[in-house]
Amino acid sequence: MKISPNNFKEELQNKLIELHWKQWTALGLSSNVKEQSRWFIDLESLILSTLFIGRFDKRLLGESLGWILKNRRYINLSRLKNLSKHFLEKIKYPNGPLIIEGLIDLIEEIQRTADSKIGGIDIDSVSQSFPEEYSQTIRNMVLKNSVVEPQVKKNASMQLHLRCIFGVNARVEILLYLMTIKEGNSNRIAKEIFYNQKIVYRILESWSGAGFLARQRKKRETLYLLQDGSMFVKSISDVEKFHYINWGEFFTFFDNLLLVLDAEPWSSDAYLVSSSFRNVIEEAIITGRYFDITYPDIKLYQGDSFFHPFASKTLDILTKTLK
Amino acid sequence: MMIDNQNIKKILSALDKQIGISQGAPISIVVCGGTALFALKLILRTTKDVDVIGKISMSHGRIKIEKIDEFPEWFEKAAKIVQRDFNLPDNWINTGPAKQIETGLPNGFEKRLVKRACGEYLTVYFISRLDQIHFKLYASLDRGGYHTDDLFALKPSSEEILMASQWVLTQDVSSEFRDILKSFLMEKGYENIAKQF
Repeated sequence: MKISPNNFKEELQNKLIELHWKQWTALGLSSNVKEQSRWFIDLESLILSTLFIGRFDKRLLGESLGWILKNRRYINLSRLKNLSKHFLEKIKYPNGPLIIEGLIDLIEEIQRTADSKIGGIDIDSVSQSFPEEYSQTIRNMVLKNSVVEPQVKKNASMQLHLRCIFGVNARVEILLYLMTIKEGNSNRIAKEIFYNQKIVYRILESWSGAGFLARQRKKRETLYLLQDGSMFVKSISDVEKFHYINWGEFFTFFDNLLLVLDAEPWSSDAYLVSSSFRNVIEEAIITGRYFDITYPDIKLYQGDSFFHPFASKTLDILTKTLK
Repeated sequence: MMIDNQNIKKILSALDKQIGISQGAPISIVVCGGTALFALKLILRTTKDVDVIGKISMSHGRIKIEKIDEFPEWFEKAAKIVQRDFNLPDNWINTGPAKQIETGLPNGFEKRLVKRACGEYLTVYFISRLDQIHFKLYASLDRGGYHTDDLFALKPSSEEILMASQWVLTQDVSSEFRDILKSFLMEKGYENIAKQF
């Protein structure tokens, strides 16, 4: 069935919002959607993406801020800052720098205050650094009783579970990477998990020296893979094979699409939307691979005729993510 | 991908939109060649490029054609995106025939142009059937091949061939070129016109 740019935008937006709710629900927010259980959630990617998508669902934004207030100790601010550069590079939302800067200030502020207290935060002052469409939600930010502590022993919240064990640092994402992708060099791992390569290299070397990881030389690169560490992984999860998604890349791809579909003159013009689809085809192909979805060759479609095949494959990805 | 009468409207409309996105300015261009032939439904064939003679400027309510040495940066940027979006060859829109403005256009050329607005930014003026006959006769003498096929597919009258012949002789005044014209006209059954030169 053919779909118009407006209908595509609406469906994409609804599915994307639902996905955010499913992930936040898995982390402890109360909602009427079924929590996500098939993939590890990446907290920093989710926080940043919710900030962008939150302009379409103020309740989602407000609830997620409540979660951040209550569970601030799980947030890796340094990684959030690294990821925010990636988000700003990929999503050209005019207010992007402002809302990200506001969020980082807010998290820095609440991480400085004592647990479960927001009395010490000057919310009015913090909210002023956000654009108008966000400031009201920030002003209304309260510590809600409906937000519960995340159940960290669930597979979806494995990142938080590992943060309870290793602390809030790069070790967690390195281990998650090796649990899912199995092997990698320090450069590739650092890029994939949004950390500095030096930090990643030091941890890999330290773990390798302790026998937790094995080092393998393949041509010119040194690969690291779990050795004794695999015993540890088995002890914390009963899942044999983990599905991997780079949520930073995933969310920036979809958030950027939504931004294009929401802006004039693209929003109502099938050709201009198709043209912008071609700009992100590489990201689309990478995202599709997580779900065995193959995008068609752009050269086979002229002008706006690319709209339908692209839109259909993109919605298929979200449908599979929501299962 | 080739350009034809099925996709030309979409391609030019896309170029108009991309000019807007590239923060360009309104521009009116004069198009000849195969694109003008099928855009005006004179001959239905395909082409690999859009030949631009020049751009239009209005002076005291009259059309003036100016040479384009090179397209503005925003135009090039927009054309590059359209090239990707429609899988078109490099230089799919070019100023190849621009020097024709310096050597002279047929009398009344500007008045016979057919205007097509492609959107908010781009306006295309296609050259008329009579001017195609002029250009195609010149190209037939110079290069032959599909230009000669195009010339006769336009079904020119004797009067039109005479007018075009008079014009092509202003483009090359050498006696050798005159002989080439006469020989061509004889060969194609226009002996009466050939005798006049």
